[in-house]
Amino acid sequence: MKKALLAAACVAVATLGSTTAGFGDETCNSPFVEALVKGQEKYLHVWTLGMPGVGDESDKMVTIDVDPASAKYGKVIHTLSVGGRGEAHHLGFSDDRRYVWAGRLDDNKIFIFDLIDPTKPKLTKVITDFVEKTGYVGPHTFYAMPGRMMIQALSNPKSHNGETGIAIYTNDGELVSTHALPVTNGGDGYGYDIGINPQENVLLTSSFTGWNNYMMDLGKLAKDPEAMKNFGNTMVLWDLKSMDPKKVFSVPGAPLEIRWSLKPGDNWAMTATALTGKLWLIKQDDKGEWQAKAVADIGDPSKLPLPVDISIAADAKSLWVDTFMDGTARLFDISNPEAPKEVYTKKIGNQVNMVSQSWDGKRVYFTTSLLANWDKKGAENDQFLKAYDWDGKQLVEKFSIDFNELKLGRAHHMKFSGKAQSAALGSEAAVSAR
Amino acid sequence: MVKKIPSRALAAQLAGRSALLAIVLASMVSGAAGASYPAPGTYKLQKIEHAASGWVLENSTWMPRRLSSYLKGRITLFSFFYSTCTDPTGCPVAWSAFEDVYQRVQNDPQLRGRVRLVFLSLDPRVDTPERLSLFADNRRATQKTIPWNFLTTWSDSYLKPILEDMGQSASRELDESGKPTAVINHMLKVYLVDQEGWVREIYTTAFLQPDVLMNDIRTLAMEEDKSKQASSK
Repeated sequence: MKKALLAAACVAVATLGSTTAGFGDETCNSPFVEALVKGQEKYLHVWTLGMPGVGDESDKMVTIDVDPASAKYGKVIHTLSVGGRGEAHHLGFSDDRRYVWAGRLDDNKIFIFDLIDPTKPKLTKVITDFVEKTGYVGPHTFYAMPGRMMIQALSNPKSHNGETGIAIYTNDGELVSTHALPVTNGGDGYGYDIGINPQENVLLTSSFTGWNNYMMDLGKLAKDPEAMKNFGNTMVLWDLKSMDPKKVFSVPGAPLEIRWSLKPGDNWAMTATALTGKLWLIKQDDKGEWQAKAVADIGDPSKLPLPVDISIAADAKSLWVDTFMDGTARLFDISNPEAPKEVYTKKIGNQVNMVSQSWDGKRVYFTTSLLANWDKKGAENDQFLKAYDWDGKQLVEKFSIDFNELKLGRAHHMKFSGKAQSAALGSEAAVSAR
Repeated sequence: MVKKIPSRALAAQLAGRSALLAIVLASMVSGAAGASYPAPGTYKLQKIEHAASGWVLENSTWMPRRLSSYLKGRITLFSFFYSTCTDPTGCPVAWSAFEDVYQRVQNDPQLRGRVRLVFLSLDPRVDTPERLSLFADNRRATQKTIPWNFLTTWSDSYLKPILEDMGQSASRELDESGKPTAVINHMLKVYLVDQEGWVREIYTTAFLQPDVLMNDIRTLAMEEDKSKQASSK
């Protein structure tokens, strides 16, 4: 029996091949998140900011049926309000994809939802002492580690500026450790996103701004030259195993989302700078030294298009870039990552922030909200989810959900779910028919 | 201090035993060819959580023991498995990594006698103590230098709290009619547990490289040595 099992192991491991690279998800999540949805996604969860005078005014998780074969395709099938408004922002799956963590940047609460039934996310835990436990403010990025959740914060409770760090929690929501962003050797202490390349044992972080700025009205902020100085201008390369910062890159203008190439054999990542409107490439040079360099403009940087979310294709040939101010989605050909070329643009709305594409790149989803105090005002304050097909030449709209009309709030971060096809061990469903 | 790990060393070591396994594992670790890892003892493995307790069975249905008795006193590599598992990203990967660590520890006089390997079944109905003894029998000769224990439980209801304590989600796949199948979906996780029963590292497929496992085991051994030296002064 043992030989048989070992033989099975050999065959099984052989089939792994390059998939041991571990990169995954559709297409921006931690490489440690499993159960990738590589076929048709069934549900889309949207972490939504409550708005005064709109519906129940509460932040909420909104679940939408996105399966074209479903009778409820394009409809909201579930909402779960969590109470209050605390600047709901980003989501992140646990490593086993059973849970999704959702953060709020103002009151620092973290909500953990159980997705074992993705049609009805269930709130299982609320972490309310993030600031007291970690010494940081603004839990932003939730990035799965094996058995843990790595959280990149944006600020701190003393100055509320951008000096901050990374906190690591168990999947049960208990703090394990904290790791300050470097403020020496060129580091400015700011944080924003996390990107891990397990095969290289490296972690990349980017940098945004602190609570003082991200909670300020955008118009007021733009007219405050002192406040405008308080943005991150760096990225940091860390030794993942030891969590030691190894190198600080100068990347001026608030580098935000980090996307490692998912193509097997590639060892490079890309980011977009919000204030300077450029794509940056982080890659090893001929000597194996990691370097960062600007490789393309995004629109006309002089007009401050404000690049926000980016989404890389699984084959690393293309990259969607949303520019918030003109509400435009831009597709870059990055088959040569040293020289990306903008090949397609489409205006999505008055404003657009997040973009998520399916694993095969054939479906692309957009939402609108950036931050409650940075979103546009009045009639320009579009709040929607729009779903498109990408046919290789253009985006073709499939459906749109108006979050204003449905009194849901500001649509922000999205995550996909597949269909539940298993039952937890020990549950009645797992044993009933055995 | 950063040390380059020879990523293909594992394959070379195994070449004499199994050409197929060597080729397979070479492909597994080749992705780490350019990676740099800190040298053992130069970094800290955080205390993540206490390992689970709960009742488990080894040699007899009538002699339950606490799981914690297997997870203390030595540096332990622990994982869940089930004997009929064929998921290419699941049990077989853990089995290969454990087999490699098993061989390396036996050949390392500084680690021999300090490390334990533990598998706990996800399918107690199939994996009875009697069935698992078939796996354990071939490891009896090395029980002192590197024990490898194959454990099970009485039922899913005894397994469930252990899964919850270890943060290991596992679910039985359902067929088209919604009935449970023999397939148990679980994300491969391997837990490195220190002598006091603290989980100090968790590995999934993307990180389950024997060189990294051995580095971490040596780091815990060095930590223990320092602690003993300090307490003897």
